[in-house]
Amino acid sequence: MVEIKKRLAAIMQIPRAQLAKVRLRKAEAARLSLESAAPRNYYKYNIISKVDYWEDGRISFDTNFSPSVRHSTLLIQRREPLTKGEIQVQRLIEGNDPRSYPLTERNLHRIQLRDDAKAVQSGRRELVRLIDRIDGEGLKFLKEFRYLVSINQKYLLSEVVRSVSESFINISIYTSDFDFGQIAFDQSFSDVIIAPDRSFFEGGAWPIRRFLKAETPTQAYAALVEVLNEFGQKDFDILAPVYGDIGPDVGVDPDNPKKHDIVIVMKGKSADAPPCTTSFRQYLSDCYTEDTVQGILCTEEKIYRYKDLITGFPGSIAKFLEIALQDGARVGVWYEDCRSDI
Amino acid sequence: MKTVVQISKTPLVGAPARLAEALETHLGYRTLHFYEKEYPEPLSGFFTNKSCHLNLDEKGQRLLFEDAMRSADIVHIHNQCSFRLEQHILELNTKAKFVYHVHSPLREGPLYFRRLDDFRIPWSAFFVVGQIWPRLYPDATPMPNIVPMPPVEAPAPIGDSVRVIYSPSHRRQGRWGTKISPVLDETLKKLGDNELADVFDLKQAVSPYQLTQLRKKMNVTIDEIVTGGFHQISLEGMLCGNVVINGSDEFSIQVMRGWTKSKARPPFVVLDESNVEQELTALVKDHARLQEKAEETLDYGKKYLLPEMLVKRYDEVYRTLN
Repeated sequence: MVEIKKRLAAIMQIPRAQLAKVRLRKAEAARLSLESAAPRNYYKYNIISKVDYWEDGRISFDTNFSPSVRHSTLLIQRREPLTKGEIQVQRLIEGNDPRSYPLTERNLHRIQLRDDAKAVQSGRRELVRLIDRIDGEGLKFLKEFRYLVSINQKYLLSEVVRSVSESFINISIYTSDFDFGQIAFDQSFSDVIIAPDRSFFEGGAWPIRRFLKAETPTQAYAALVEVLNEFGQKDFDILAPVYGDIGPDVGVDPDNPKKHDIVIVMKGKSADAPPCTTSFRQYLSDCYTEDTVQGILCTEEKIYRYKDLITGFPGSIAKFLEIALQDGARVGVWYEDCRSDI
Repeated sequence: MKTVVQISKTPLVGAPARLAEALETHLGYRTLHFYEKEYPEPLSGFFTNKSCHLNLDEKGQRLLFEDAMRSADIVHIHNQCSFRLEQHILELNTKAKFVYHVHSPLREGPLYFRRLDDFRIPWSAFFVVGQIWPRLYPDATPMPNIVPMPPVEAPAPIGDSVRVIYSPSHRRQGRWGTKISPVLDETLKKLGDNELADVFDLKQAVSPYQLTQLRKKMNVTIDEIVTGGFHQISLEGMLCGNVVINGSDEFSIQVMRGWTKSKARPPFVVLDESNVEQELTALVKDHARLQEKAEETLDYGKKYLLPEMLVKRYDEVYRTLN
């Protein structure tokens, strides 16, 4: 009691204005303490950047959190004018039902994009102009995301963002009410295209790796959830045959200890393998053909990723390899006399 | 006698300067290498003692460059150059043949994507460093990096303890550019702790000259074991008579076989994270095998990696440019 009286007396000695300042400081400290203890502000839209496509100013990001390299999704979301289908797909992604972990509030982050058409004065190629707008910190931050989703994208911002990291999986969604004639870039760099009609996207620099037909927003959302599940981390990286005759005598170790993404089993001996004397493309075309390849095995993730390239190999084995190697696939090559690579 | 001007934005760890030196020394080309931006400390000055810094706002540097450009038969641009420099190049000489040479991966810095098409320069040839990069630029011609050093007479003798050198030039992450591996770090630590090897795990930047001199005293050079490729360090290790360890996959091997024009596979000891501890430990314990492999490696270096041989590949292409 004596102690309390002493403290009260001491407080009474403090001028009123000073006391108010002390209280303010305490309130501020309490607020800061609460903020630091709470998770980051996962407000509904999680907008981490606003980009005006045609400006040349710096593109900056809210880097006040750490994305997950395994699960985080970056959605490039256009501002108006949006199509009805586009709005519906956005709402379905927000609703996240059926649930997909990369689309949860914790993992879904957005770039809000203004892309109204304007004349570009810059003589530089668009990719260079855009990547030069992102500083080192921004580039480092973007590398921490796993998925890049865009809806009805007209220009190549997603190609630029995908170029920042080898681990980005780019999913491009187009709705049936979007005027495809507005698309002003080659979409064939995409890992996955979800759209009502495949034909528009054919004839680009690269064959389509994976296409999912979706005529309605609901189908587009379902397709998105499907591919996100397919690309999710797997407990095992088991190799499964996708081409040719690979019997038990080949002796594949199902545990895939070398962590290969793809294994090519060749018919010949290693000493007979021709070298790459001209371009790498020519080398692949010369060496990896139906006549020389006995079989191909892929991990589950790569089977999904390259489904359109490996289902019946509509292009060629060489083209599939060229694309997979560019995407960073780790490919083992196994000869008759050299089967220790797996 | 042809004049070749080599241009790069950064010193590119000396690759353009080494090429220029080899062209001049072995084939009599007149060459100069210009770079726009020096590396920051501690690498500043390491790779530029035979190159010219180019700042277009500096009178003397500009004069040197303009003089060289006006007489150039071939302009060989490495990786990228500034927009302003490109404009100036086109103002100075449009009759020269232009060669683009890429040294860096896609989807990683410093290029991020294919830069060939960013230029307005009419290219006559497209080169790619013949290591892991050809798979990223499949339409380019793979070309060797030049190591301008004579091979050692014989591999360094193996003492009581095998000497192993690991000197990654950086410790950044990245599918293509990384040179580090926690598993390798742990393995090297165990080898050192158990006194199975004398490990030189260099954490500080060392000048290329000093590093080469040190490497000549080594028995094993470790490049990197995670990307599927090999680097300049593997080539240097071979000429120094070291057993060379890297993670080259079949595609990197076949690219190297292509530019060496040899039937022989490079005698690398190819390891990865799944077997590096077991295999490297076994290797450093087996001195006889190590000695034999070092001799085989040096023989290969003497046969296929001499600068006077490799630079001929550039000469062959330069002569066909039109």
